[in-house]
Parts: sequence; structure tokens; C-alpha cells
Amino acid sequence: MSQSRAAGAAGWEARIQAQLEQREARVAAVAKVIQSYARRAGKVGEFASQSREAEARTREMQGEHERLLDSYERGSGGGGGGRGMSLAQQRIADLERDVEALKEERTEMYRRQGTNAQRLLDLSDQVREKDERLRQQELEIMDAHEALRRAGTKADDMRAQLKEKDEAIQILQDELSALQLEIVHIEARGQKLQAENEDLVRRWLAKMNEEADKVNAVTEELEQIKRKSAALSPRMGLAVFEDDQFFGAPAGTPTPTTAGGVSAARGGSLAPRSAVGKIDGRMEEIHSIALSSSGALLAVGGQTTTVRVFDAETGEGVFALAGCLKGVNHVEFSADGTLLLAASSDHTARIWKLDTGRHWKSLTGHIGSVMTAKFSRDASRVYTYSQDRTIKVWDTQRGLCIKTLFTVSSCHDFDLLDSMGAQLVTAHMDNAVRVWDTATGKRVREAALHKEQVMSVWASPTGERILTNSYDGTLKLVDARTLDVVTVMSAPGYRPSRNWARASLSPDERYAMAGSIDGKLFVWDANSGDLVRTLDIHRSAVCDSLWHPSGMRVYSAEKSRYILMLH
Amino acid sequence: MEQQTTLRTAWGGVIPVELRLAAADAIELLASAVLPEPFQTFYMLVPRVSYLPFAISRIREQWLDPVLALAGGGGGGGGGAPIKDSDVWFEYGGQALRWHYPAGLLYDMLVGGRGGAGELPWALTVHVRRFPADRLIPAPGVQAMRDMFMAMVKEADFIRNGSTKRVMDLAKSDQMQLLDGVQTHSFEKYFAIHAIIAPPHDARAKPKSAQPKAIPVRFYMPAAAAADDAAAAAAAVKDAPDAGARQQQQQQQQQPVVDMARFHVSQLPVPLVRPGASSSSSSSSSSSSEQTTVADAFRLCYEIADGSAFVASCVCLCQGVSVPWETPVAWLAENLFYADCFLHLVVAAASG
Repeated sequence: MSQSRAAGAAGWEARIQAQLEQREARVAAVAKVIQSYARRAGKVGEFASQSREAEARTREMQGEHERLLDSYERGSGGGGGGRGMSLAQQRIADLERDVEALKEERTEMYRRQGTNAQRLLDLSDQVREKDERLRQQELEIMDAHEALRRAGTKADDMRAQLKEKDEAIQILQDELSALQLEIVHIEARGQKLQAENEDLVRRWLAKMNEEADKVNAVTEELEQIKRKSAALSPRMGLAVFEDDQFFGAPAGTPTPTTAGGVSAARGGSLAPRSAVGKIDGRMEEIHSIALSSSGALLAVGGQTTTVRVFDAETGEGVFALAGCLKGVNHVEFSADGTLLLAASSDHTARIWKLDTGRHWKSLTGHIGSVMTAKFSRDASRVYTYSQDRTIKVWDTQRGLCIKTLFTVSSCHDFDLLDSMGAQLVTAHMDNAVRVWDTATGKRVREAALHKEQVMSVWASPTGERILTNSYDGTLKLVDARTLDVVTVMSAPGYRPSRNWARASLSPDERYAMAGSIDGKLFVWDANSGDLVRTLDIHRSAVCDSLWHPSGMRVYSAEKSRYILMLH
Repeated sequence: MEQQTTLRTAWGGVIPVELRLAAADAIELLASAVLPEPFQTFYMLVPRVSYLPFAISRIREQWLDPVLALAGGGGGGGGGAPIKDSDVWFEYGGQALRWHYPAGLLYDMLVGGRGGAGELPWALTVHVRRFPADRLIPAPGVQAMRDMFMAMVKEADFIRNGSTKRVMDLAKSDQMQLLDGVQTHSFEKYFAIHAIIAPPHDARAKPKSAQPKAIPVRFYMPAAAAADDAAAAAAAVKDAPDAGARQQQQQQQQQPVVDMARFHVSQLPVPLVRPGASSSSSSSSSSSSEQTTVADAFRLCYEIADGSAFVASCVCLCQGVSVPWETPVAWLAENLFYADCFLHLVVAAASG
């Protein structure tokens, strides 16, 4: 670069350079002189300024001096002499004045300080008060927050409880609806069951009727057969007897009509001496016998379900009355002899028509075995006593129970005191005998006549006397109205059998008869109470004994099967 | 480097100045037309690139105040009102000097290099009263001068780069440094900042964008030396004897003085590359035939035809140096620039 430059610069640049140097050269000498001049001029300037300053200072000092002088003159009241001294005094006076002024200022300052301190205290008090109030307010705020929080939690709890209650309500409602549904179902079922029940009862009744019809049919057939056989062999009668031997009878030929060894006074009824006949009861256990009022028929009821009716003279079987479902406890003829009543352990009392031998009515309603059943005199009413401790009064025609008496305590036997059965007398297990009013059902009278259970009670036909038979081995004849004991009869060795033991009166009320457990038959004089006769003719316990309505004959049934006719 | 030395030499140029107090003012101040003996004249060196107002304070401190103090003393507020800087003005040959021109420019304009002896020292008259506000920009002062100076610098930057960004981006301290450099005539101070504003460029090395777009140039031609009156001016100049002694110069002063009012000032941005030259890359513009020369600039400015011989009849002064016409403007801009980054070129008729 520089080479080209040099080439081109040979002209102008060199010339310029040369001129510059010339210029410098020209100026140089003069410049030197002027520079030294300038230095001196500078010095001059300095001196001048210094002198100016000095002058100014002196002038200032002079001015001050004059001022001081003036002030002194003024202060000291124009004193001429002692200018030097007065100057000092003047100074002192000035200083003193200054001191005064300063003292005043100081007191002023102290006063102001005092007021400021006071104000400061007031302000700090106010500040403290404000702080106090602020703190209280903060506490209140905190309490309010606390209360708010607690209320909030309580509200939450309430809401939770509410929700639970709602749920419980929901559940209960569900259960309720479910239960209602169940109720509906159950009601439907109940109704269905009721309907079924009615249906079953109807069917059962129908079945009963059917059976009764069947029984009737069977009896009819039997009758037919009997008639046929009777037609074949008339008056063979005694063929009924199975063997000739009698049980331990001392004497007596088996003649049905006459009785061997008639003794003592008969007067209406006889005390039997000996057996004259034997009837096969055709049942294993005999519970009860009955004679029709005409004395022609003998009914036997026992362990079997069939009630057998025999000819009282011949001992021939006349009827075999079926219908009972269980054993028969008591049999009885109606007063007119057309009906036969049987009390059965199947909780029923049944009535058969004797003209046809058909089962006529069954009296259902007891809930226990029917122990005793009695007709009223006109046979319009039936009285039954059952082991459910009730005596029921039945309308015979309709077959419905009219009245129920509660005897409270269990009875063995009862009897009607009058023809219509307005009053009943019962023999109780608690050793007492009671008299009842049928209409009201109330107990009229009672008396503890025996020491032990009263086994049977027999009302005299007149209704004045009652014969009671007790397990304690005594028979008592009591007045019906007052229950006073009239006669007491007992005998050594007499003991009634446990379950079935009946004492009976002769139709003229002269004799009382009872059978004992060992098979002996005792007869007493009812008025005097003396033992008239003892018959040891039975093999087993005597359960029932009756006088023939004529009084001439006695039928006694022993437990095992046989009934003896006695004269 | 030769560039640096040229630069330094150009920058270091000073003008010895001889100052006298105007008579009228002396009478007013000191009640006598003539100052006390040692203080009649005051000599100082004014840097060419600096400005007259910067010298006023020195004049005051070292000359006028002592004079007044000595002569006037404490006697009755000497001379009326104190001297204000804004009242000080300079006068040469009856002409008030435009205080916003660089001193070197004023000297070249009024005294002229004229190929040799100028007038040394340069005799100026100082006035402290009756500032000619009709002829000069009023209120000269250090601060006013500084503002003027910065305005010129910005203008130069704008012409150079198309925006005043470089100058405006200068930190305050840098600006102060620039001004102080000018005021105290410190080359280091000034040039450090100048390098930021107008970085010296290597026509080949630097990219084209770093080159200034144009060079700010001002031509000062005496009005009488206009193209249509060139001969008369030349003759007028020629009448003066050759540069030499001071007396001759003073004689010249009596003769038709170059009237400042009648200067033709024209400014133009001069492109670095001669217009019409091939627009090849800057690296090839090293050939001097491409670069704009002063002659080109002059012709461009005054619209003189290329073939005119007028150019040859004039001489171009810059920093007291007669610049050959074929000097590239770019080189001039980098070496002979004034403090305000301008090239102030005085064109005068050749003195033969």
C-alpha cells in the first residue's frame, strides 16, 4: 500500500508534508518566544489574582473592624476614651447577652422536652390500650372460629345421622313391604287352609255318615242272617251257652226261668242267691251293662267297639251295634226302650235305634273320652260326662250340644236327680259328691262323703236317695236334698275294683248291691245297712251289677266277659 | 507512521497571535487610551484547530484583569461594569471575526498562506464592549462554543455516515473528553474519541460499509474570486508582494482587505469515489484515478467544467498548507481535518 501511495504521493503528499514543515518552521521561533511570554503572563495573572484576593481580604477586615468600632460606639453610648478596653467590655456584654439568650433557649428546650415526654407517655398508654383491645378482639375472633368449626362438625354429624336414619327408614320400609307381602301370602294361605279345613270336616262327616250307613247295612244283613238262622232253629236258645260249668257255684241247675235257692223275703226285689244263667258278653273286658225298662234286653259295653245287645231271658245276641271307634264306657237304654246310648272313649256318645239296629246319632263335641252318658226320662236330652271334666247336655233330635257344665274336678260317675235332669249329682275323685243345677251350671251342694274316691253314684228312681260307692269300701245312702248320710254300708273284704265299679239299688230301694274286686258280690239292706248276702261266684272283678226291673233277677257283670243272671 | 506524524503535525499547528485592547475600551476601562507599559500587547498561541472563544478566559485572567487591577486598583469600581465573556469580540483589519470559525480557518481566510509568509504573529484587536450583534452570532462563550462545535461534529457525522448515530452514541464522558481535547489542545484526548467517530479507514482492508459515504467539505472562496471575476481577484492578489516580512503583510492589510462578508461558503459532501467511475469494489479504489480529488470536489461544488483552467489558477489552503489539487479528498479528510471533522478549504487566487 505504502509503495503505491508513495508513487502517487510523490506529488501531493510530499508537497503537503513539505508545506507543513515549513509552516511549523515559521511558527516555531515565534512560538517559543510567545510560550515563554505566556508563562510570564500566567505568572502575572496569578499575582494579579492573588493581589486581588489580598485586597479583598483587607477590605473585608477593614470593614469588619469598622463595624466592630461602630457597634462598640453604639453599645457603650458614645464613650470616647479607652477604646481598647471598651472594646473588650463590649465583647463581654455581647457574650453575656448571648449567654442569657442561650439560657432562655435551654429552659425553653427543657419545657418542650417535658411536654414531649408527657405526650410520649400518653401515646404509649394509648398504644397499649389499643394493643389490649386488639388482643381481646383476636381472642373473640378465635372463639368465634372455634364455635363455627364446632357447629360445622355438629351439622356434619347431624347430616350423617339423618342419612343413617333415612337409610334405616328405607330398610324398615322395605321390611314393611316385605312383611305386608308375607301377610298377604299368609292370609291367602290361612284362607286356603280354612277352606281345606271346612272341606275336610265336610268330608269327615260325609265319611262318618258313610260308615254309619255301612254299619246299618251290615246290621241289616246280620238281622237277615239271624232271621234266617232263627227260622232254621227256633228256640234253641241255650245253644248259646258254651259250656255247662259255672264258676264255683255251690248249687243251682242252669235253668233260665227258676232260680235255685230263693230265700228270704222277696217283697218286690230279691237278694240273689245263686246264678241261674250265664251270658257271654263276647268281649274281653266288660265295662258296663244296662237293662231296658221292659227288662227284655241287656246291653253290654266294654273294651270292644261293638255294643252287644242280648235277650235278657235267653242270652241270645240280638244286636251287635257298631259305630264306636273305641271302647265303650257306659251303655244305657232310653226309658221307652227304643234307643240305646253308649258313651265311648272316642269322645263321642252314640245312639242307636233299636227297632232297626242302626246307628242313629253320634254326639261329638267332647275332647276327652266320654265316661258316662244318660238319657233324660223322655229321651229328648242326653247327658254326657267326659274326661275333659265337662258335662254336656245334648238335644237328642238334633244331636247338638246345648249346654256344657264344668265340673272342675274329675268325676267317676254322675246321675240325674230328676226326670228332666234339672239337677245332676256327680261322684268325684276328690272324695266328694256334688249336686249341680243344670240350667245355671252352678254347684248347688257338695259334700265330702267318703274318705276316698267316690266311684259311682246311683240316684233312686224317686230321686230322694243317692247311693254312693267309694273306694274306701263303703256304700253310703244319702239324702238327695241335703246330702246327709242315711245309711252306711260296708263289709269286710269289700273293695270296689279300680276303674269300673258300680253299686246299685233294688227297684224298691230295699237292697243295695255292689261287686268287689275279688269277684264277690255283696248285698246289703239299704235301710239298716246290714250285709245280707255275699256271693262269691265271679272269677274276676265285678264291674257292674243290676237288678232286673222286676226285681226278681240280678245281672252282674264281671270284668272278663261274662254276665251272670242271678236269682 | 507517516500518517500519524502528518496528523500530529497538522493538529499541532498553532498561530502566534498578538492582541491589543481596543482604544475605546481602554479609555472606558482605564481612563486612558493606552494600557500601562508592559500590558499593552498580549501574545498567545492559538491552535489552528481551536476556537477563539476558548482563548477568552486566558486573555481575561492573564492580561485584562491584572491590567485592570493594577491600573484601576480599588479606586471606585474600575471602569464600570465588569468584563463579560459574551462581550468579548475580536477584530482584524476592521472586520469582526466570526468566533465560530476555527482559528486556523480564520487565519487562512484573512491572512492566507499565500505560499509562504503569512503574518506572524497575527495581530488582532480585542474588544470588550459593544458586541456587534448585527454582524456576529451573539453571546460567544465557552458553553456556546462547545454547543456550536458539537453541532458541527454531528453534521459531519451525518454527512459521513448518513446518520448521527456515532456522535449521539458517544458517552457523556467521551463527549467531554472530545471538547476538552479541543479546548486544551490535547491530541491524545481528542484523537481517542475522534477515532470512534471517524475511524481511520484502510481503503483496501475495511469492508465497504465502514467507509464514510461522503466527506464533509467546505469551500471558502472570496466572493471576488468567483468564476466570473477570477481574473480580477487574481490580479488583486497578485498585486501584493511576495510572502515575506511582516511589514509587507501589514501593507497588504491596508490594501483591499478580503472582505469576510463577501466570502462564498459552500458545503458539499464529497463522495470518496469520483462519480462516474466504475462501481467496482472498494478494494480497487486505491488507484488515485478513482478517488475524488480536491479538484474534482471543487469542480463539483462550483460546477466548473472539467476542462476549465480556473482550477489551476487557484490555490487551495488547508491548515495553512497549500494543498495540491490532485490530492485525494479521502486522504485529506484523514489527515488535515479540523477539530469539527470538516475539511475547511480556502480557495484563493494563486499568488504566483
